[in-house]
Amino acid sequence: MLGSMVLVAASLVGCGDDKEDNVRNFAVQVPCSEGGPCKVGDTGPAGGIVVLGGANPEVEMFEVAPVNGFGTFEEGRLMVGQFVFGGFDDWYLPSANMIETMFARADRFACGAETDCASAYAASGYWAMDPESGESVAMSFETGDWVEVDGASRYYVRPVRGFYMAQGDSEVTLLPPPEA
Amino acid sequence: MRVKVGVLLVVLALGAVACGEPDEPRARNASTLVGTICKKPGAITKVGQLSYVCGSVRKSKPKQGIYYGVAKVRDWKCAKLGATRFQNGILSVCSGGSKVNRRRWAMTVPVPFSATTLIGERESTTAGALEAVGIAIPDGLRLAPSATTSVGSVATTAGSETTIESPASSNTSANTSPEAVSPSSSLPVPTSDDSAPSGTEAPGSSVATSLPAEPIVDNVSCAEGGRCVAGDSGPSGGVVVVADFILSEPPTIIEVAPVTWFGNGRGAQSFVDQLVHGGFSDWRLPTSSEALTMRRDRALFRCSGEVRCARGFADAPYWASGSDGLLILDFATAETPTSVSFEEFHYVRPVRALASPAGGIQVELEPS
Repeated sequence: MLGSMVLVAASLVGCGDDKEDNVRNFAVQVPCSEGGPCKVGDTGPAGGIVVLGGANPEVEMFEVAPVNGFGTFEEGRLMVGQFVFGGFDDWYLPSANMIETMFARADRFACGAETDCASAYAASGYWAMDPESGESVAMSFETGDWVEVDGASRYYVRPVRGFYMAQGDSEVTLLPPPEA
Repeated sequence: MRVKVGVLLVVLALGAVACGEPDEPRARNASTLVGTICKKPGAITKVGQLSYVCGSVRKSKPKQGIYYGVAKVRDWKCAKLGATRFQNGILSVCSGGSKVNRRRWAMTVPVPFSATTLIGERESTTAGALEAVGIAIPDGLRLAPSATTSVGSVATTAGSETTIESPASSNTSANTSPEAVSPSSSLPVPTSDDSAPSGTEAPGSSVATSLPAEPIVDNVSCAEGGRCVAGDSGPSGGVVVVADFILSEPPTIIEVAPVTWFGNGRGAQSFVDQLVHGGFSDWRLPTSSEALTMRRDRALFRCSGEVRCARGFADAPYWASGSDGLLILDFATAETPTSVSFEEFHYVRPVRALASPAGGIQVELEPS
Protein backbone atom coordinates (compact mmCIF):
# COMPACT_ATOMS: atom_id res chain seq x y z
CA MET A 1 0.00 0.00 0.00
CA LEU A 2 2.75 2.39 0.95
CA GLY A 3 4.67 1.40 -2.13
CA SER A 4 1.70 2.25 -4.33
CA MET A 5 1.35 5.67 -2.75
CA VAL A 6 5.01 6.41 -3.34
CA LEU A 7 4.69 5.40 -6.98
CA VAL A 8 1.64 7.60 -7.52
CA ALA A 9 3.31 10.53 -5.80
CA ALA A 10 6.42 10.09 -7.90
CA SER A 11 4.44 10.02 -11.11
CA LEU A 12 2.53 13.15 -10.13
CA VAL A 13 5.78 14.98 -9.44
CA GLY A 14 7.03 13.90 -12.81
CA CYS A 15 3.93 15.24 -14.51
CA GLY A 16 4.34 18.60 -12.91
CA ASP A 17 7.97 18.89 -13.97
CA ASP A 18 7.18 18.04 -17.56
CA LYS A 19 4.43 20.59 -17.73
CA GLU A 20 6.62 23.31 -16.25
CA ASP A 21 9.41 22.50 -18.68
CA ASN A 22 7.02 22.69 -21.61
CA VAL A 23 5.69 26.03 -20.50
CA ARG A 24 9.16 27.37 -19.91
CA ASN A 25 10.50 26.17 -23.26
CA PHE A 26 7.51 27.53 -25.11
CA ALA A 27 7.81 30.88 -23.42
CA VAL A 28 11.45 31.44 -24.28
CA GLN A 29 11.34 30.31 -27.87
CA VAL A 30 11.07 33.27 -30.20
CA PRO A 31 10.27 32.21 -33.75
CA CYS A 32 12.57 33.08 -36.60
CA SER A 33 9.94 35.35 -38.09
CA GLU A 34 10.12 37.46 -34.91
CA GLY A 35 13.88 37.58 -34.67
CA GLY A 36 14.53 34.26 -32.98
CA PRO A 37 16.98 31.62 -34.16
CA CYS A 38 16.42 30.56 -37.72
CA LYS A 39 17.07 27.36 -39.53
CA VAL A 40 16.76 26.54 -43.18
CA GLY A 41 13.12 26.29 -44.18
CA ASP A 42 11.86 28.62 -41.46
CA THR A 43 9.70 31.60 -42.24
CA GLY A 44 11.91 34.66 -42.03
CA PRO A 45 11.19 38.12 -40.63
CA ALA A 46 9.66 39.29 -43.92
CA GLY A 47 7.62 36.15 -44.51
CA GLY A 48 10.14 34.59 -46.87
CA ILE A 49 11.76 31.20 -46.52
CA VAL A 50 15.20 31.04 -44.94
CA VAL A 51 17.84 29.37 -47.11
CA LEU A 52 20.92 30.21 -45.09
CA GLY A 53 20.76 30.40 -41.36
CA GLY A 54 21.61 28.87 -38.05
CA ALA A 55 22.05 29.60 -34.38
CA ASN A 56 25.09 31.81 -34.92
CA PRO A 57 24.02 35.47 -34.96
CA GLU A 58 27.26 36.46 -36.69
CA VAL A 59 26.20 34.70 -39.87
CA GLU A 60 24.21 36.63 -42.37
CA MET A 61 21.00 34.86 -43.22
CA PHE A 62 18.90 35.05 -46.33
CA GLU A 63 15.24 34.64 -46.88
CA VAL A 64 13.62 34.06 -50.24
CA ALA A 65 10.26 35.67 -51.02
CA PRO A 66 7.43 33.17 -51.66
CA VAL A 67 6.70 34.56 -55.11
CA ASN A 68 7.63 33.60 -58.65
CA GLY A 69 7.79 36.60 -60.91
CA PHE A 70 8.57 36.20 -64.58
CA GLY A 71 10.21 38.30 -67.23
CA THR A 72 13.40 39.38 -68.92
CA PHE A 73 16.39 40.18 -66.77
CA GLU A 74 15.72 43.90 -66.97
CA GLU A 75 12.06 43.38 -66.12
CA GLY A 76 13.10 41.20 -63.22
CA ARG A 77 15.48 43.84 -61.92
CA LEU A 78 12.76 46.47 -62.06
CA MET A 79 10.21 44.20 -60.45
CA VAL A 80 12.49 43.29 -57.58
CA GLY A 81 13.57 46.92 -57.19
CA GLN A 82 9.96 47.92 -56.59
CA PHE A 83 9.09 44.84 -54.57
CA VAL A 84 7.58 45.27 -51.13
CA PHE A 85 6.71 42.14 -49.19
CA GLY A 86 6.16 41.49 -45.52
CA GLY A 87 6.71 45.16 -44.81
CA PHE A 88 10.25 45.11 -46.25
CA ASP A 89 11.47 46.74 -49.43
CA ASP A 90 15.11 45.65 -49.33
CA TRP A 91 14.75 42.72 -51.68
CA TYR A 92 17.18 42.10 -54.50
CA LEU A 93 18.03 39.56 -57.16
CA PRO A 94 20.05 36.64 -55.82
CA SER A 95 23.69 36.20 -56.70
CA ALA A 96 24.96 33.11 -58.52
CA ASN A 97 26.16 31.57 -55.28
CA MET A 98 22.87 32.25 -53.61
CA ILE A 99 20.83 30.78 -56.40
CA GLU A 100 22.95 27.63 -56.26
CA THR A 101 22.05 27.36 -52.60
CA MET A 102 18.40 28.00 -53.37
CA PHE A 103 18.45 25.22 -55.93
CA ALA A 104 20.23 22.82 -53.60
CA ARG A 105 17.56 23.40 -50.98
CA ALA A 106 14.58 23.42 -53.31
CA ASP A 107 12.98 20.63 -51.30
CA ARG A 108 12.51 23.09 -48.43
CA PHE A 109 10.22 25.10 -50.66
CA ALA A 110 8.04 22.25 -51.87
CA CYS A 111 4.38 22.36 -50.98
CA GLY A 112 2.95 19.46 -49.06
CA ALA A 113 1.09 16.69 -50.82
CA GLU A 114 -2.28 17.70 -49.43
CA THR A 115 -1.86 21.42 -49.51
CA ASP A 116 -1.05 24.08 -52.00
CA CYS A 117 1.16 27.07 -51.55
CA ALA A 118 2.85 29.74 -53.59
CA SER A 119 6.37 29.19 -52.36
CA ALA A 120 7.59 26.26 -54.48
CA TYR A 121 9.91 26.78 -57.43
CA ALA A 122 8.99 26.23 -61.04
CA ALA A 123 10.91 23.70 -63.09
CA SER A 124 12.34 26.50 -65.15
CA GLY A 125 15.12 29.06 -65.26
CA TYR A 126 15.69 31.59 -62.48
CA TRP A 127 17.56 34.84 -62.79
CA ALA A 128 20.65 35.66 -60.78
CA MET A 129 22.90 38.68 -60.90
CA ASP A 130 26.59 39.11 -60.28
CA PRO A 131 26.55 41.68 -57.46
CA GLU A 132 29.78 43.32 -58.70
CA SER A 133 29.40 43.41 -62.45
CA GLY A 134 25.63 43.36 -62.59
CA GLU A 135 25.90 40.63 -65.21
CA SER A 136 22.91 38.38 -65.62
CA VAL A 137 23.00 34.61 -65.34
CA ALA A 138 20.21 32.08 -65.05
CA MET A 139 20.02 28.60 -63.64
CA SER A 140 17.60 25.93 -64.70
CA PHE A 141 15.79 24.73 -61.62
CA GLU A 142 14.87 21.60 -63.53
CA THR A 143 18.46 20.44 -64.05
CA GLY A 144 20.64 22.72 -61.95
CA ASP A 145 22.58 23.77 -65.06
CA TRP A 146 23.36 27.32 -66.04
CA VAL A 147 21.39 28.32 -69.09
CA GLU A 148 22.25 30.67 -71.90
CA VAL A 149 20.71 34.09 -71.63
CA ASP A 150 20.25 37.12 -73.82
CA GLY A 151 18.26 40.30 -73.61
CA ALA A 152 15.08 38.59 -74.74
CA SER A 153 15.34 35.59 -72.42
CA ARG A 154 12.51 35.28 -69.96
CA TYR A 155 12.90 33.42 -66.71
CA TYR A 156 11.48 33.38 -63.24
CA VAL A 157 12.45 35.90 -60.62
CA ARG A 158 12.87 35.21 -56.91
CA PRO A 159 13.65 38.17 -54.69
CA VAL A 160 15.89 37.58 -51.68
CA ARG A 161 16.92 39.70 -48.74
CA GLY A 162 19.60 39.31 -46.10
CA PHE A 163 19.38 39.89 -42.39
CA TYR A 164 21.29 39.28 -39.21
CA MET A 165 19.68 37.57 -36.34
CA ALA A 166 20.26 39.05 -32.91
CA GLN A 167 20.07 35.93 -30.77
CA GLY A 168 18.08 36.35 -27.60
CA ASP A 169 16.74 39.61 -28.86
CA SER A 170 13.69 40.18 -30.99
CA GLU A 171 15.41 42.88 -33.01
CA VAL A 172 16.58 42.01 -36.48
CA THR A 173 19.38 44.00 -37.98
CA LEU A 174 18.80 44.55 -41.64
CA LEU A 175 21.46 44.59 -44.28
CA PRO A 176 21.36 47.29 -46.91
CA PRO A 177 20.64 45.95 -50.38
CA PRO A 178 23.70 45.65 -52.63
CA GLU A 179 24.40 48.25 -55.24
CA ALA A 180 22.42 47.49 -58.36
CA MET B 1 -62.20 -17.94 -91.02
CA ARG B 2 -59.86 -16.72 -93.75
CA VAL B 3 -60.89 -13.18 -92.98
CA LYS B 4 -60.12 -13.68 -89.28
CA VAL B 5 -56.67 -15.10 -90.05
CA GLY B 6 -55.99 -12.25 -92.39
CA VAL B 7 -56.91 -9.70 -89.77
CA LEU B 8 -54.74 -11.49 -87.24
CA LEU B 9 -51.76 -11.50 -89.60
CA VAL B 10 -52.18 -7.81 -90.30
CA VAL B 11 -52.33 -7.05 -86.57
CA LEU B 12 -49.21 -9.12 -85.92
CA ALA B 13 -47.39 -7.46 -88.76
CA LEU B 14 -48.29 -4.04 -87.43
CA GLY B 15 -47.13 -5.09 -83.99
CA ALA B 16 -43.81 -6.24 -85.34
CA VAL B 17 -43.33 -2.93 -87.10
CA ALA B 18 -44.12 -1.04 -83.93
CA CYS B 19 -41.76 -3.19 -81.91
CA GLY B 20 -38.00 -2.81 -81.88
CA GLU B 21 -35.52 -0.88 -79.85
CA PRO B 22 -37.34 2.11 -78.40
CA ASP B 23 -34.24 4.25 -78.45
CA GLU B 24 -33.57 3.74 -82.10
CA PRO B 25 -36.00 6.33 -83.44
CA ARG B 26 -34.77 8.78 -80.82
CA ALA B 27 -31.19 8.32 -81.89
CA ARG B 28 -32.11 8.45 -85.53
CA ASN B 29 -34.10 11.61 -85.11
CA ALA B 30 -31.46 13.20 -82.98
CA SER B 31 -28.85 12.56 -85.57
CA THR B 32 -30.97 14.05 -88.29
CA LEU B 33 -32.27 17.23 -86.70
CA VAL B 34 -30.03 18.23 -83.82
CA GLY B 35 -27.37 20.57 -85.03
CA THR B 36 -29.01 21.23 -88.34
CA ILE B 37 -30.00 24.63 -89.60
CA CYS B 38 -33.44 26.02 -88.79
CA LYS B 39 -35.00 29.25 -89.94
CA LYS B 40 -37.45 30.24 -87.20
CA PRO B 41 -35.56 30.98 -83.99
CA GLY B 42 -37.62 29.99 -80.99
CA ALA B 43 -39.94 27.71 -82.93
CA ILE B 44 -40.48 24.21 -81.60
CA THR B 45 -40.70 21.42 -84.15
CA LYS B 46 -42.02 17.97 -83.35
CA VAL B 47 -40.68 14.91 -85.07
CA GLY B 48 -42.40 11.83 -83.78
CA GLN B 49 -42.23 11.98 -80.01
CA LEU B 50 -39.30 14.31 -79.93
CA SER B 51 -39.30 18.06 -79.88
CA TYR B 52 -36.62 20.34 -81.21
CA VAL B 53 -36.22 24.01 -80.59
CA CYS B 54 -34.54 26.44 -82.91
CA GLY B 55 -31.81 28.38 -81.12
CA SER B 56 -30.73 31.54 -82.87
CA VAL B 57 -27.28 32.05 -84.28
CA ARG B 58 -25.39 35.23 -83.70
CA LYS B 59 -25.10 37.63 -86.62
CA SER B 60 -26.46 35.12 -89.10
CA LYS B 61 -27.88 36.59 -92.26
CA PRO B 62 -30.47 35.61 -93.22
CA LYS B 63 -31.66 35.05 -89.68
CA GLN B 64 -31.32 31.38 -88.85
CA GLY B 65 -30.59 29.01 -86.03
CA ILE B 66 -29.67 25.50 -85.03
CA TYR B 67 -31.91 22.78 -83.73
CA TYR B 68 -31.49 21.54 -80.18
CA GLY B 69 -33.37 18.64 -78.64
CA VAL B 70 -35.90 19.76 -76.04
CA ALA B 71 -35.74 18.17 -72.61
CA LYS B 72 -38.44 20.25 -70.99
CA VAL B 73 -40.14 23.57 -71.52
CA ARG B 74 -40.11 25.33 -68.18
CA ASP B 75 -42.60 27.89 -66.97
CA TRP B 76 -39.89 30.55 -66.94
CA LYS B 77 -40.69 33.55 -69.07
CA CYS B 78 -38.30 34.84 -71.67
CA ALA B 79 -38.43 37.62 -74.17
CA LYS B 80 -36.28 37.12 -77.23
CA LEU B 81 -37.22 34.19 -79.41
CA GLY B 82 -34.32 31.86 -80.07
CA ALA B 83 -32.09 33.45 -77.43
CA THR B 84 -29.89 30.99 -75.56
CA ARG B 85 -28.48 30.92 -72.10
CA PHE B 86 -26.36 28.64 -70.00
CA GLN B 87 -27.45 27.98 -66.45
CA ASN B 88 -26.26 25.22 -64.18
CA GLY B 89 -24.72 23.50 -67.10
CA ILE B 90 -27.87 23.41 -69.15
CA LEU B 91 -28.42 25.28 -72.36
CA SER B 92 -31.91 26.76 -72.66
CA VAL B 93 -33.52 28.34 -75.68
CA CYS B 94 -36.27 30.94 -75.54
CA SER B 95 -39.18 29.29 -77.32
CA GLY B 96 -42.74 30.14 -78.18
CA GLY B 97 -44.65 32.14 -80.73
CA SER B 98 -45.51 35.69 -81.57
CA LYS B 99 -47.15 36.41 -78.21
CA VAL B 100 -44.45 37.58 -75.88
CA ASN B 101 -46.23 36.57 -72.70
CA ARG B 102 -46.29 32.95 -73.86
CA ARG B 103 -42.59 32.60 -74.48
CA ARG B 104 -40.79 30.21 -72.18
CA TRP B 105 -37.28 28.81 -71.68
CA ALA B 106 -36.91 25.36 -73.22
CA MET B 107 -34.18 23.33 -71.56
CA THR B 108 -32.25 21.36 -74.14
CA VAL B 109 -30.83 17.89 -73.92
CA PRO B 110 -27.14 17.19 -74.26
CA VAL B 111 -26.29 16.24 -77.77
CA PRO B 112 -25.68 12.49 -78.13
CA PHE B 113 -22.00 12.01 -77.95
CA SER B 114 -22.12 9.98 -81.11
CA ALA B 115 -22.41 13.37 -82.71
CA THR B 116 -18.97 14.18 -81.47
CA THR B 117 -17.49 11.80 -83.98
CA LEU B 118 -17.62 14.88 -86.11
CA ILE B 119 -14.90 16.39 -84.01
CA GLY B 120 -11.67 16.23 -85.82
CA GLU B 121 -13.22 15.58 -89.16
CA ARG B 122 -13.28 18.08 -91.92
CA GLU B 123 -17.00 17.57 -92.22
CA SER B 124 -17.44 19.35 -88.94
CA THR B 125 -16.77 22.63 -90.60
CA THR B 126 -19.88 22.45 -92.69
CA ALA B 127 -22.69 24.69 -91.65
CA GLY B 128 -25.02 22.99 -89.28
CA ALA B 129 -22.55 20.43 -88.12
CA LEU B 130 -22.37 20.11 -84.40
CA GLU B 131 -19.58 19.62 -81.97
CA ALA B 132 -19.93 18.68 -78.36
CA VAL B 133 -17.72 20.65 -76.08
CA GLY B 134 -17.47 19.62 -72.48
CA ILE B 135 -15.22 19.65 -69.50
CA ALA B 136 -14.01 16.71 -67.53
CA ILE B 137 -13.83 17.63 -63.90
CA PRO B 138 -11.70 15.65 -61.50
CA ASP B 139 -13.42 13.72 -58.75
CA GLY B 140 -14.94 15.88 -56.10
CA LEU B 141 -15.38 18.94 -58.23
CA ARG B 142 -18.56 20.17 -59.78
CA LEU B 143 -19.42 19.81 -63.40
CA ALA B 144 -18.86 22.94 -65.38
CA PRO B 145 -21.58 24.32 -67.61
CA SER B 146 -19.67 23.29 -70.65
CA ALA B 147 -20.24 19.66 -69.79
CA THR B 148 -23.43 20.06 -71.70
CA THR B 149 -23.01 20.45 -75.36
CA SER B 150 -22.46 23.56 -77.24
CA VAL B 151 -22.56 24.30 -80.87
CA GLY B 152 -19.94 26.35 -82.48
CA SER B 153 -16.43 26.63 -83.57
CA VAL B 154 -13.48 25.01 -81.96
CA ALA B 155 -12.12 27.50 -79.52
CA THR B 156 -9.10 29.21 -80.88
CA THR B 157 -6.48 31.06 -78.96
CA ALA B 158 -3.65 33.08 -80.35
CA GLY B 159 -3.28 30.97 -83.40
CA SER B 160 -3.60 27.64 -81.69
CA GLU B 161 -6.76 25.71 -81.06
CA THR B 162 -8.11 24.56 -77.77
CA THR B 163 -11.11 22.34 -77.55
CA ILE B 164 -12.49 21.67 -74.15
CA GLU B 165 -14.01 18.27 -74.21
CA SER B 166 -15.68 15.80 -71.93
CA PRO B 167 -14.09 12.44 -71.33
CA ALA B 168 -17.15 10.72 -72.65
CA SER B 169 -16.83 12.42 -75.96
CA SER B 170 -13.18 11.67 -76.13
CA ASN B 171 -13.93 8.04 -76.73
CA THR B 172 -15.28 8.86 -80.08
CA SER B 173 -12.76 11.45 -81.00
CA ALA B 174 -9.52 10.06 -79.77
CA ASN B 175 -6.31 10.22 -81.71
CA THR B 176 -7.14 13.47 -83.33
CA SER B 177 -4.30 15.29 -84.92
CA PRO B 178 -4.03 19.04 -84.47
CA GLU B 179 -4.57 19.43 -88.16
CA ALA B 180 -7.75 17.44 -87.97
CA VAL B 181 -9.21 19.59 -85.23
CA SER B 182 -9.90 22.33 -87.63
CA PRO B 183 -11.47 25.60 -86.64
CA SER B 184 -15.02 25.71 -87.86
CA SER B 185 -14.91 29.28 -88.91
CA SER B 186 -17.92 28.89 -91.10
CA LEU B 187 -19.98 27.42 -88.34
CA PRO B 188 -22.49 29.74 -86.74
CA VAL B 189 -22.26 30.36 -83.05
CA PRO B 190 -25.30 30.56 -80.84
CA THR B 191 -25.87 33.73 -78.93
CA SER B 192 -25.93 34.07 -75.18
CA ASP B 193 -27.50 37.44 -75.03
CA ASP B 194 -30.12 36.58 -72.44
CA SER B 195 -28.37 36.27 -69.15
CA ALA B 196 -29.40 34.25 -66.17
CA PRO B 197 -31.00 35.98 -63.21
CA SER B 198 -28.54 38.32 -61.61
CA GLY B 199 -26.97 37.74 -58.27
CA THR B 200 -27.28 34.01 -58.47
CA GLU B 201 -23.99 33.01 -57.06
CA ALA B 202 -23.38 29.38 -56.43
CA PRO B 203 -20.66 29.02 -53.87
CA GLY B 204 -19.63 25.43 -54.07
CA SER B 205 -22.84 24.50 -55.75
CA SER B 206 -22.90 21.18 -57.41
CA VAL B 207 -24.44 20.03 -60.62
CA ALA B 208 -24.94 16.34 -61.05
CA THR B 209 -22.88 14.71 -63.72
CA SER B 210 -23.26 11.39 -65.39
CA LEU B 211 -20.05 11.70 -67.32
CA PRO B 212 -17.71 8.82 -66.64
CA ALA B 213 -14.37 9.84 -65.24
CA GLU B 214 -12.29 8.37 -67.99
CA PRO B 215 -8.99 9.82 -69.03
CA ILE B 216 -8.75 11.51 -72.35
CA VAL B 217 -6.70 9.58 -74.84
CA ASP B 218 -5.30 11.92 -77.37
CA ASN B 219 -2.15 12.45 -79.29
CA VAL B 220 -2.29 16.19 -78.85
CA SER B 221 -2.06 17.53 -75.35
CA CYS B 222 -3.84 20.59 -74.07
CA ALA B 223 -0.48 22.34 -73.80
CA GLU B 224 0.09 21.71 -77.50
CA GLY B 225 -3.28 23.07 -78.49
CA GLY B 226 -5.30 19.88 -78.21
CA ARG B 227 -8.28 19.22 -76.03
CA CYS B 228 -8.12 20.41 -72.44
CA VAL B 229 -9.50 19.11 -69.18
CA ALA B 230 -9.91 21.35 -66.15
CA GLY B 231 -6.65 21.11 -64.28
CA ASP B 232 -4.59 20.48 -67.40
CA SER B 233 -1.54 22.48 -68.24
CA GLY B 234 -2.63 24.95 -70.87
CA PRO B 235 -0.76 26.23 -73.91
CA SER B 236 1.33 28.59 -71.82
CA GLY B 237 1.98 26.15 -68.99
CA GLY B 238 -0.81 27.53 -66.81
CA VAL B 239 -3.65 25.62 -65.21
CA VAL B 240 -6.92 25.34 -67.14
CA VAL B 241 -10.00 26.37 -65.15
CA VAL B 242 -13.66 26.69 -66.06
CA ALA B 243 -14.74 29.92 -64.44
CA ASP B 244 -18.43 29.56 -63.76
CA PHE B 245 -18.84 30.63 -60.16
CA ILE B 246 -21.17 33.55 -60.76
CA LEU B 247 -24.03 32.17 -62.79
CA SER B 248 -25.20 35.53 -63.99
CA GLU B 249 -21.95 35.94 -65.88
CA PRO B 250 -21.09 33.94 -68.97
CA PRO B 251 -18.71 31.13 -68.01
CA THR B 252 -15.20 31.39 -69.33
CA ILE B 253 -12.39 28.95 -69.80
CA ILE B 254 -9.18 30.43 -68.57
CA GLU B 255 -5.60 29.49 -68.07
CA VAL B 256 -4.08 30.56 -64.76
CA ALA B 257 -0.39 31.43 -65.04
CA PRO B 258 2.03 29.48 -62.85
CA VAL B 259 3.39 32.87 -61.90
CA THR B 260 2.75 34.67 -58.65
CA TRP B 261 3.73 38.19 -57.82
CA PHE B 262 2.99 40.54 -55.00
CA GLY B 263 2.26 44.22 -55.15
CA ASN B 264 -0.15 47.08 -54.70
CA GLY B 265 -3.03 47.68 -57.08
CA ARG B 266 -0.98 49.63 -59.56
CA GLY B 267 1.86 47.13 -59.42
CA ALA B 268 -0.53 44.21 -59.84
CA GLN B 269 -2.12 45.75 -62.92
CA SER B 270 1.27 46.64 -64.33
CA PHE B 271 2.59 43.14 -63.72
CA VAL B 272 -0.19 41.39 -65.62
CA ASP B 273 -0.12 43.96 -68.42
CA GLN B 274 3.58 43.46 -69.00
CA LEU B 275 3.73 39.75 -68.43
CA VAL B 276 4.82 37.58 -71.33
CA HIS B 277 4.73 33.94 -70.32
CA GLY B 278 4.63 30.81 -72.41
CA GLY B 279 4.70 32.95 -75.53
CA PHE B 280 1.50 34.76 -74.64
CA SER B 281 1.07 38.38 -73.66
CA ASP B 282 -2.71 38.52 -73.19
CA TRP B 283 -2.59 38.06 -69.44
CA ARG B 284 -4.92 40.03 -67.23
CA LEU B 285 -6.28 40.09 -63.72
CA PRO B 286 -9.03 37.55 -63.04
CA THR B 287 -12.62 38.71 -62.78
CA SER B 288 -14.53 38.11 -59.55
CA SER B 289 -16.11 34.96 -60.96
CA GLU B 290 -12.76 33.68 -62.16
CA ALA B 291 -11.06 34.37 -58.84
CA LEU B 292 -13.93 32.74 -56.94
CA THR B 293 -13.68 29.70 -59.20
CA MET B 294 -9.92 29.52 -58.71
CA ARG B 295 -10.42 29.55 -54.96
CA ARG B 296 -13.20 26.96 -55.13
CA ASP B 297 -11.19 24.69 -57.44
CA ARG B 298 -7.83 25.27 -55.84
CA ALA B 299 -7.41 21.52 -55.54
CA LEU B 300 -6.57 21.66 -59.25
CA PHE B 301 -3.50 23.68 -58.34
CA ARG B 302 -2.09 21.31 -55.77
CA CYS B 303 1.39 20.11 -56.41
CA SER B 304 1.17 16.71 -54.71
CA GLY B 305 4.43 17.26 -52.90
CA GLU B 306 6.45 17.95 -56.04
CA VAL B 307 9.62 19.85 -55.31
CA ARG B 308 9.27 22.17 -58.28
CA CYS B 309 5.69 23.17 -58.86
CA ALA B 310 4.87 26.86 -58.76
CA ARG B 311 1.16 26.82 -59.38
CA GLY B 312 -0.29 26.73 -55.86
CA PHE B 313 -1.96 29.57 -54.01
CA ALA B 314 -1.04 31.17 -50.75
CA ASP B 315 -3.59 31.42 -47.97
CA ALA B 316 -3.82 35.14 -48.53
CA PRO B 317 -5.76 37.70 -50.55
CA TYR B 318 -5.33 37.92 -54.32
CA TRP B 319 -6.12 40.80 -56.64
CA ALA B 320 -9.11 40.57 -58.98
CA SER B 321 -10.77 43.00 -61.33
CA GLY B 322 -14.27 44.25 -60.67
CA SER B 323 -16.62 46.38 -62.71
CA ASP B 324 -15.76 49.42 -60.61
CA GLY B 325 -12.08 48.79 -60.06
CA LEU B 326 -9.82 46.34 -58.36
CA LEU B 327 -10.96 43.92 -55.69
CA ILE B 328 -9.30 41.37 -53.50
CA LEU B 329 -10.42 37.85 -52.77
CA ASP B 330 -9.06 36.17 -49.67
CA PHE B 331 -7.99 32.60 -50.38
CA ALA B 332 -7.77 31.87 -46.67
CA THR B 333 -11.47 32.43 -46.03
CA ALA B 334 -14.79 31.98 -47.81
CA GLU B 335 -15.46 35.69 -48.03
CA THR B 336 -16.67 37.36 -51.19
CA PRO B 337 -14.48 39.85 -53.10
CA THR B 338 -14.09 43.21 -51.45
CA SER B 339 -12.89 46.61 -52.53
CA VAL B 340 -9.65 47.80 -50.98
CA SER B 341 -7.26 50.66 -51.30
CA PHE B 342 -4.95 50.60 -54.31
CA GLU B 343 -2.08 51.05 -51.90
CA GLU B 344 -2.51 47.69 -50.22
CA PHE B 345 -0.12 44.91 -51.16
CA HIS B 346 -1.50 41.54 -52.17
CA TYR B 347 -0.72 38.53 -54.32
CA VAL B 348 -1.31 38.61 -58.06
CA ARG B 349 -2.18 35.68 -60.27
CA PRO B 350 -2.53 36.47 -63.99
CA VAL B 351 -5.04 34.64 -66.14
CA ARG B 352 -5.75 34.53 -69.85
CA ALA B 353 -8.88 33.48 -71.69
CA LEU B 354 -8.87 30.27 -73.64
CA ALA B 355 -12.49 30.15 -74.72
CA SER B 356 -16.05 30.35 -73.56
CA PRO B 357 -17.91 27.06 -73.21
CA ALA B 358 -21.03 28.74 -74.53
CA GLY B 359 -20.22 28.24 -78.12
CA GLY B 360 -16.49 28.43 -78.17
CA ILE B 361 -16.54 32.20 -78.25
CA GLN B 362 -13.22 33.86 -77.75
CA VAL B 363 -13.42 35.79 -74.53
CA GLU B 364 -12.74 39.45 -74.81
CA LEU B 365 -9.72 40.60 -72.92
CA GLU B 366 -9.77 43.30 -70.34
CA PRO B 367 -8.82 46.69 -71.74
CA SER B 368 -5.24 47.46 -70.92
